[in-house]
Amino acid sequence: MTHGSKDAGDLGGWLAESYDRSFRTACLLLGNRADAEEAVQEAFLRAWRFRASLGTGASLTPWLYRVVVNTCWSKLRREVPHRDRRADASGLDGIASTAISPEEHSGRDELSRSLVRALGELPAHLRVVVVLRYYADLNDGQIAIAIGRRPGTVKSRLHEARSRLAANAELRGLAVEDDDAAEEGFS
Amino acid sequence: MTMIEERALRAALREAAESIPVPDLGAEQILRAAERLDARPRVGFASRTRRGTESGASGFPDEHRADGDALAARRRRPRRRVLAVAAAVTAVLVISLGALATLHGARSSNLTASNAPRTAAGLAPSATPAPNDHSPGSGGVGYGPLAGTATGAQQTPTTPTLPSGAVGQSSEVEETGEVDLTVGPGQLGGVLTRLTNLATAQGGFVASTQVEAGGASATPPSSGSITLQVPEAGFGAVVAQVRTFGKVTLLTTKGTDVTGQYVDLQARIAALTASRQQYLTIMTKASSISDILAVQAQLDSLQTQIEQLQGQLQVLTSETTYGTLVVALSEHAGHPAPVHHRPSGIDRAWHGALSGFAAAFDGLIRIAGPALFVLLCVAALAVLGRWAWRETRRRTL
Repeated sequence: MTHGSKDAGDLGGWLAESYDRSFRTACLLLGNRADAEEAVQEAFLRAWRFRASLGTGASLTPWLYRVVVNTCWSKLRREVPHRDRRADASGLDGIASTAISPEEHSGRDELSRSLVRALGELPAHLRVVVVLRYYADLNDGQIAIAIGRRPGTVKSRLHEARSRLAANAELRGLAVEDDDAAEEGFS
Repeated sequence: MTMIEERALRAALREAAESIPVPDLGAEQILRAAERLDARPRVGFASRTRRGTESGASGFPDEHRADGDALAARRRRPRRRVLAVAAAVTAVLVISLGALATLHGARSSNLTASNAPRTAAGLAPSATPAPNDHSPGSGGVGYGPLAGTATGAQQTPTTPTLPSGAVGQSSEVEETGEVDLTVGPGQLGGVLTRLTNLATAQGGFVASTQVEAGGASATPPSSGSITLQVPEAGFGAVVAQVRTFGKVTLLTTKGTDVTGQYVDLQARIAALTASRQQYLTIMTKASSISDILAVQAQLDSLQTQIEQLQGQLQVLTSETTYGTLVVALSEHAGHPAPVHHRPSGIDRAWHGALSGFAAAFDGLIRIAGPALFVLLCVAALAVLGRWAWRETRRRTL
C-alpha cells in the first residue's frame, strides 16, 4: 500500500490493518499486554502526528515498525526495569499460555511456548531482530531501518540470536548444523 | 556450533504470536482519538495516569480525557526536562551573581578601609583592615630577595586606619621605610647627592650618611647608606623617586599609627597642667613656710613630669611630621673584561655540542607542559566521548 499522498483516510485504514501485527510485535518485545497496548497506541498516535514525514511504498512498513520498536525500547528502558524482570519473563510465557487452552497443548504448542520463553530470555537488541525477521517478515534492510542500524549489524545479531536460541535445551528440536544455518541465514 | 532452523523458528514464532488475542477496538479507538487530536488545539492535553490503559481493553477508558494522552505524556517529559535545565541554569546564575556580589562587596569594603581619610576617624565607619592592608602596627611589608622577588616590589605607603575613640583627633602616623638600591659602578656619590637634593626639595633633611669606599680594584665595590627625614605628606613621593635611582633589591615601608599615644600624652599634660594650676592657687593661700615648701615640692614634681611628657610629645610630633627613609646603596661589581682567545675547531665543536644538548633538553622541558596539557585534554575528551557513546548505545537498540 502506497501512502505517498499522506491522505488521512488511507493512513487510517493502513494503520488499522497494521494494528494486529504491530500489537503482537509489541507483545513479543515487551512481554506484557498492557505495555504493548500503550506502546502501540503511542506509536500510532505518533505516526498520525508525524504523517507528513511518512515514507512511501516499501519504506512505510519499516517506518511504522521503527516507531513501534522505538516506543517499545523506550518502555523497556524507562519503565520495565522498575518492575521485576522475572515477572516479565513469565509474562511472555503467560501471553502464550493464556491464549491457548489446556486442551490445545499439543507438541507444537509446547514448542511455541518454549520459543516464547526463550525469546524472553534473549537480550532486547537480539529479541527485536528475531521478532522483526521471523514474525514481521522484514528483510535485513527493513530491519536495519526499523532499528536504526546497518544491515550487517542485523545479520550478525540474527546469527547470534539463532545461536543462542539453539543453545536452549527446549529448542533442541529446531537446531541444525552451523553450515546449513549459516547458508540460510546469510543468503 | 548449532543454529536454530529458520523455517521452524518462523512457524513457531508466528503460531505463538497469532495466539495472542488482540483488543477488538484497539485500532479504531486509537484512530478516533488521533482524529480528535487533529481537531483540538495542541495545548491542554488531559492528564491521565499512565496505567490507565490497563483499566480498559482498548487503552482509552475515558473518551473525554484520552485524546492525545500518549503524546501529552511524551510532551510533558521534554517540558519537564527543559524546566529542570532552566532551573539548573537559573540556580547557577544566581549562585554566580551572589558570589560576584559578595566579592565585589568585600573589595569595596577593603577599598573603603584603605582610602579612609586620615582625619576625623569617626567618618570611617568601615575601617576594617583588609588582609593586604597596610594597617598601622601590623608592620611593614618587605619585598626583596628574601621575600622572593629579586628586583624588589613597589609598596606605596598607605593610609592607616584610625583607632576607635580618637574622634576629632587628627591621625598621627609615623612612617618609616627602607630601600636597598644597587647602582652602577662609580655612581654612588652621584646618587647620594641626588637623594640629598630630593629630601631638601621636599622640605626634609639628611639625618645621617655613611659611605664605605671600595678598593682600587673595585672589589668589594663601594657602598653606603643615607637616612632621609622627609615630611610625612611627601613620603610616598620620595619613595617613588628613590626607586628610580637604581635597581631596587628591597623596599619596605611601614606606617605606625601613634594617635593613641599622642592623645594620651596630651591628656596627661593637660591633667598635670591643671594640677599645677591648682597648686599655684594653693601656693597663693599658703601662710606658713612649711606649707609653702610642701606645695613647692609638689609643683616641682609636677613640672618635671610635664616637661618629660612634653619632651615625649615633641619627639612623637617630630616622628610623625617627618618620615624616616633609610636608603642603602651599593655599587654592583663591574663585569671583568672578557679574555678573548681564539677557540680551536674542537673547542667550537664541543661547545656547540654542549649548547645543542642543552637547547634540546630545554626544548623537551618546554614542550612537556603543553604536551601534558594536550594529553589531559585528549584524555578528558576520550572519557567524555566514551561516556556519550555508551549512552547512545544504551539508548538505541
